[in-house]
Amino acid sequence: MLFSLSIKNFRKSIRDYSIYFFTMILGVAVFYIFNAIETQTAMMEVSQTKAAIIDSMNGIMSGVSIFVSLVLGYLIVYASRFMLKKRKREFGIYLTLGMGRIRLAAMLWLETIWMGLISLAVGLLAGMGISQLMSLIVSNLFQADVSRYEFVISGQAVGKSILYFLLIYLVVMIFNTLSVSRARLAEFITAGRKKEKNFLKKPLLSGLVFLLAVVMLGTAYYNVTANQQAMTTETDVLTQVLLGIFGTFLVFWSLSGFLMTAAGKFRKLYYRRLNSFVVGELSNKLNSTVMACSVICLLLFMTICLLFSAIARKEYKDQEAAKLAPVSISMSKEMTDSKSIFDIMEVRGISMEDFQDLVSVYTYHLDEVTNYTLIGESYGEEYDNQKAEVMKVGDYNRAARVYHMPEYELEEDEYLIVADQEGAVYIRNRGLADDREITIKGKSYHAKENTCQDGYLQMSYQPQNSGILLVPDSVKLGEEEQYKNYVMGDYRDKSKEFAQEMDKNFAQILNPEQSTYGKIQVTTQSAIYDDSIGTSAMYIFLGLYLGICFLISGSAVLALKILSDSADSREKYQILQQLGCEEKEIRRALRRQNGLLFLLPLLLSAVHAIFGIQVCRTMLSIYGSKGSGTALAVTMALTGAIYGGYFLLSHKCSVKIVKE
Amino acid sequence: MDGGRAFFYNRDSTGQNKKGVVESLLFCAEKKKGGESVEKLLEIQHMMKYYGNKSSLTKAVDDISFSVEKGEFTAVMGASGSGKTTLLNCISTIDRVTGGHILVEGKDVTKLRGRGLSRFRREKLGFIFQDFNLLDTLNGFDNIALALQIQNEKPGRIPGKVEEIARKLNIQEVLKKYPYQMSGGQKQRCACARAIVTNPSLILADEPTGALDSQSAGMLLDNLQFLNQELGATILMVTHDPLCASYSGRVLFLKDGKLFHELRKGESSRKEFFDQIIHVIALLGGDLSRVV
Repeated sequence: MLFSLSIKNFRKSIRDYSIYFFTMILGVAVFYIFNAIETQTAMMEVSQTKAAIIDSMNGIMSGVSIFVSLVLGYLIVYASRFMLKKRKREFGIYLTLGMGRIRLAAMLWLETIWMGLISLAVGLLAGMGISQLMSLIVSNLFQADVSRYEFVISGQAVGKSILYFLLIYLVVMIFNTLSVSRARLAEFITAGRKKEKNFLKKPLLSGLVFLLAVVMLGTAYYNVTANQQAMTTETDVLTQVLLGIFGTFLVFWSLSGFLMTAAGKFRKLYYRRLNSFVVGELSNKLNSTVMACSVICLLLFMTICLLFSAIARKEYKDQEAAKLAPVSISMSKEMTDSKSIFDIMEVRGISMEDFQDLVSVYTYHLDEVTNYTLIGESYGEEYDNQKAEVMKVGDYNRAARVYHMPEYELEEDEYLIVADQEGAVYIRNRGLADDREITIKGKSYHAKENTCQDGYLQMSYQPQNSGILLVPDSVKLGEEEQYKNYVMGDYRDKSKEFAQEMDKNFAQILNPEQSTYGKIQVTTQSAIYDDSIGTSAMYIFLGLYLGICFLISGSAVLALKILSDSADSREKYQILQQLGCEEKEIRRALRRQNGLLFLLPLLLSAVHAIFGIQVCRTMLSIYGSKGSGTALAVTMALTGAIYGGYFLLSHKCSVKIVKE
Repeated sequence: MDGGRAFFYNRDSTGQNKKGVVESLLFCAEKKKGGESVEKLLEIQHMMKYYGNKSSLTKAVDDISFSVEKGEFTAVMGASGSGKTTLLNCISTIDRVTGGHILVEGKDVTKLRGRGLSRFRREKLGFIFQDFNLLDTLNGFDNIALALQIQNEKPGRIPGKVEEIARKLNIQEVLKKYPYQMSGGQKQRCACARAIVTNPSLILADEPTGALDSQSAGMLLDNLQFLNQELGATILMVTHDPLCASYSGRVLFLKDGKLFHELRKGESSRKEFFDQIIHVIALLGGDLSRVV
């Protein structure tokens, strides 16, 4: 009896709560897809640099999976408790008919098991299908060669999905049992009769709270953007986060009262057609979902920021990699042992034939030119006393020519500083702004420009040149004052294989373990490119994984709310029909309130995101607005597809429910 | 026993009862003698409503004909299952008839479909229900205003109309309240105001006092009487409560889907009319007597 009843109930649940079921399937599928990436990347042939990044990405992914499973677990528990509430009367009938609580719990267990098994099976199947598409995206983002296509099923991901979701269902079962065993029969029976009260709020109070919320959010917005410099400690940052969270909550807390007050001001609009009804329903819904709306708004906000910055970062880094690594290889070595890089290459037996147009330049350390001399402001003793790297402008221009960077000209009494590392530029600009005179070997020089100029000597993953002082060629610099030797140029063999070979072995050959010479730093174009590609892909996958899960969770909660509300308010639409309201009007009213309920959290999250994205850009050092268009488009498309899809689905269902 | 003349429309197997025909003819003659030309607002012609299929057919309403004149306050009485609510649902076009015609102001509403139905409901009908059917998310004022909004009334004219009807029904104090803050009687009078504010041709009331205590019921019925006598509203009310029915001017009795009896108040007082109703119920016995 229990068995067949549970199957019947399960069937009914699928029909009534198709959105819940759909969400579970989607959850399993997404979980599988992102966990299967590990297997997919293992199949790819990639360079050493990429392989290292993929390794760390997979590590991070499995950590994130735990977090994601918590989010999805919470969603499933929330939804099942929500459904349980709707079924209280049904349980009341079972209990009055003499069914024991244990049997009732057992029936619920069976139902959960059916639900779990089917959603797992369908979800995994769907996941495996979509995962094949994903492998295209994976190889594309990692720019791996896809010489052969293979249908990959990740046993590990299957196992992991089953394990995690079984755990989630177990938690659901425990919660269900608890809520069934605790509740009283009377509570079950009267459950349906209880009418949802309209939690009225005083208009004045609502208005004040709304204002307070706006002030809180405004403060947080200001502090994280315009006032960024003042935010130094962790407490400062945490305060802004808390302000944002509470501000969001208070906005939704006061929104309905605010709406009602506003409605009173626009009476003409309010009393047009079904507007008053829509406002009333919406404010009632908002009042009963303050918490849910706030959480959804924050989830959306995080999703938008995550997706946008991951994609904008990729665009920016691609661009920057091209600027930071224009030639095949660059090397640097301190001249402590008076051996130049060419000397060492000869010692290690490296053929110059492998390279073309190699340029070698030197920088110098002079006792009279320290950081303090250049800046005139103290940043700690160690930094102040550090000697500045000095070089002749002619030497610099030779290197710049190789890199296709701007070359500079100096008069006999001028100096110039080139730097591209953000912090260093900031500090050095303060010194340059004072128009300081410096003395080198008894002759004084003044700054040609009052800001640092763009440039570097060694290629790197990100702008790292903390400042080189360029002086006229006439300055006498002795060999004993040499600080570093830089060499830059191209490979003769431009093939990918050669570059990979170099990445693997060249640094080791130059710096064997037992070497007594100073270490040569090697950076190659291919490694920098691969690093940029790899980390970008990693960020994008993390952004997608978290973003999609957040979107699914948030949308599902709202969709469930809309469906249960529609079921509860069927009566209201009957009244409207009796009053002679046309079906078209009723549908429009329904669309407006459902649409607004979905739109309001999205709107607020979009406002949050305008500021949040700027914070993300600073944190990830993304400058310039190039790539924002793509990022915005992808973010909007994905958010629109999932969030909008859930809206359409739940709206369709709600129209169906109301029509019945 | 003047106003309490019993008309038997019993058309069991043998067809029409002769006495019934004679008497109803007499009655019509009487009316005509009065010299008033009466406008028929509602005319039910051989209305039928069957449920189920061939093997188990339920005749909820089985060939009923009657008419309601403009300005009449008519009650339809019957036990549960007698078909009175079905009758009301068919008149209000919520339900569709199986056969026969329903004419409201000479227009056959059984022929209406889609938008025509909605227009008919919002322009011609006012509803009052047992469970009030106020929208819990709107306050009293907005609930009453909604009926006007659905009629596409100009927003600027709505407040005036709502306040006017509220004054007439003496419910100004509940306009700002939400349904959950009102008593049952207040809710029902609010529903009453909503039904009348659009100036409908016909007000349909389904057990309006069903969920009220006796005092609130009395106030509501006074209101209905006021609407009928002072504002000239035509009311068709379904009830199983004799006291409730005694406020009307005419009572139709239904049994098993058939109309078998009619009482008119005429010149008698409400008390006398009430006694007549009770008397008929007792006289007829059967299911109806159990209700009382």
